[in-house]
Amino acid sequence: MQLRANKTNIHIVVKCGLLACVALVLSIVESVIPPPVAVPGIKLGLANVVTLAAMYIMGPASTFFILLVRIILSAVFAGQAVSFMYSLCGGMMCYIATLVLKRFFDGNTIWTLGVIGALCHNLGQLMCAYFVIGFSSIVYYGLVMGLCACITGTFTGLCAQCLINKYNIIKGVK
Amino acid sequence: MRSFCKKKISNAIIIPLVFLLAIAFGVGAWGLKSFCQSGTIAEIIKDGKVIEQIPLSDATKPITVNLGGNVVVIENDGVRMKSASCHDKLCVHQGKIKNSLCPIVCMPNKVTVKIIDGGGDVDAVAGK
Repeated sequence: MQLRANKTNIHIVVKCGLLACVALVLSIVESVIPPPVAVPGIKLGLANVVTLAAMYIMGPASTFFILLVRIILSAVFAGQAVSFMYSLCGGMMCYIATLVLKRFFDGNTIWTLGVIGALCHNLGQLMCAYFVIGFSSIVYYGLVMGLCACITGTFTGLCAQCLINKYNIIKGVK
Repeated sequence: MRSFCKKKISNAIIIPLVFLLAIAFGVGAWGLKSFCQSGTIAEIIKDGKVIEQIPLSDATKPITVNLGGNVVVIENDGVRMKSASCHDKLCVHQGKIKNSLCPIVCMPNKVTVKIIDGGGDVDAVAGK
């Protein structure tokens, strides 16, 4: 991105702002939905839909800022310093994994990135949680979270896949 | 676009893989759970310090521990968080724990409730 404020840059900034806003609203809406299973920390991960879609629509650099803005602001709204650390660890792991593996998937296999993203998100969070609950619990917790990540990741991945493919049709890409 | 991605992975491979992965996680969790022996002592930790250690066998009738924000109930067969002052109430939703696998953690109030084995202190050291 160039620093000069031309029309394209303003477009990018506005798009980033909008996507960050959507991600933020999704993460807040999601926190209101009661958890379906009695395992703490299990959630749908709807905000990952935006991260994934932005990765294809906006590119890696913009996605990074969208992710960062979403994590910081959702921590402000949730009002917990601890959840900020968890989100940051998880979000960064998810971002890196999506960035690296993105080129292997497109079209109707994008949903896989949702699963991989969810798994890596959990991995990041578990690394953070290691300092709180110790190793013996991490293993069991990780397995349960992994199972949930496969299910929720498929769902969010499919959402993002629909979004990206619709966007590409509108834009006339490919 | 097509020629850019040389290694294409098709859905025919991914779907069974994800499915198998999910099953592996599920079986692993279930197996670990059935292997784990139940502990005997309930331990309450606040701000990194052990506050209470109560053997479950002492709880012939439910013992209520008030931590100022969190209310822990110790029963004969397990421990549960009765109420919490935080907004998400994750620890309350978790219900009763009966073994050392998954401790109840209330992040906002820095309260950890777990069940430890009476004999070995391995878990207590690891969790510290």
